Amino acid sequence: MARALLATILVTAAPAAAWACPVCGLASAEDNAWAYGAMSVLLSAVPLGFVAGIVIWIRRASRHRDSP
Amino acid sequence: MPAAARRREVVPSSVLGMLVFVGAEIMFFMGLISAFTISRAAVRPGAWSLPATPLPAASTAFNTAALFASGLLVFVAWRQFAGDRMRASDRTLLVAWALGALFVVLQGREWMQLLAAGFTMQASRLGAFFYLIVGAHALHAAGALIGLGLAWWRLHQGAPSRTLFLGAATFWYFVVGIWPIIYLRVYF
Repeated sequence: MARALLATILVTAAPAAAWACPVCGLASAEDNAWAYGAMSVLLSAVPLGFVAGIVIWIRRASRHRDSP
Repeated sequence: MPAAARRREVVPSSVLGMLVFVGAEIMFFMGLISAFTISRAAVRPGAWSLPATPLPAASTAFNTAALFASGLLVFVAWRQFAGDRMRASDRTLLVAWALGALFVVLQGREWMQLLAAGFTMQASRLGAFFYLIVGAHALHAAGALIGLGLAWWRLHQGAPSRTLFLGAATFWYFVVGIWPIIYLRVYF
């Protein structure tokens, strides 16, 4: 239990020390590091943007349908 | 007590359901492209691809144009369908389906030529990623063509299905829309 707690603290508070972040510790080259970062941003932004786009579209369609 | 107001459908259920599926497939392709990008960034010069087997970007550009035309015609066919011009929609959707099938067939022919030239999944990392990503897209395109074909068949038989048409068209728009990202990332 104590080791699990210590590991969790290390991973969350100091990912570079725990080699938990692929950009900080596991990337083998500088070129690789930018690729990790860019793809992390892409994989985070795409689903958020997709869901936001659908929500906005449905809201507009709903307002258009309800307008006199 | 007055009767409860009937709920009106804002977005067709077939479209909403297909969009949920499309969202999952977008993440699938983003994962593949992410792996491609990270692998390519880490590889030593000369170890990514065999120098004698360049990808046929020019001929694939023609295939891409056919795919775009197909997507545009599916949209036109839907507008004709919505305007109750069923015969025109029938013809337009058939041409759209044929262009989509042409894309898949021409891509298959390119694959045969690349394989004959020694560009295989085992030949290089680029080969492995190329067949994985482009092959996954081809499978999605083939599945979408089946859906579009069913929608056209219902229309042709005089029993048009709005929900089937919209659902199939939504998935086809995804197949058309994801291709330029794959083409620009993998072929260049």
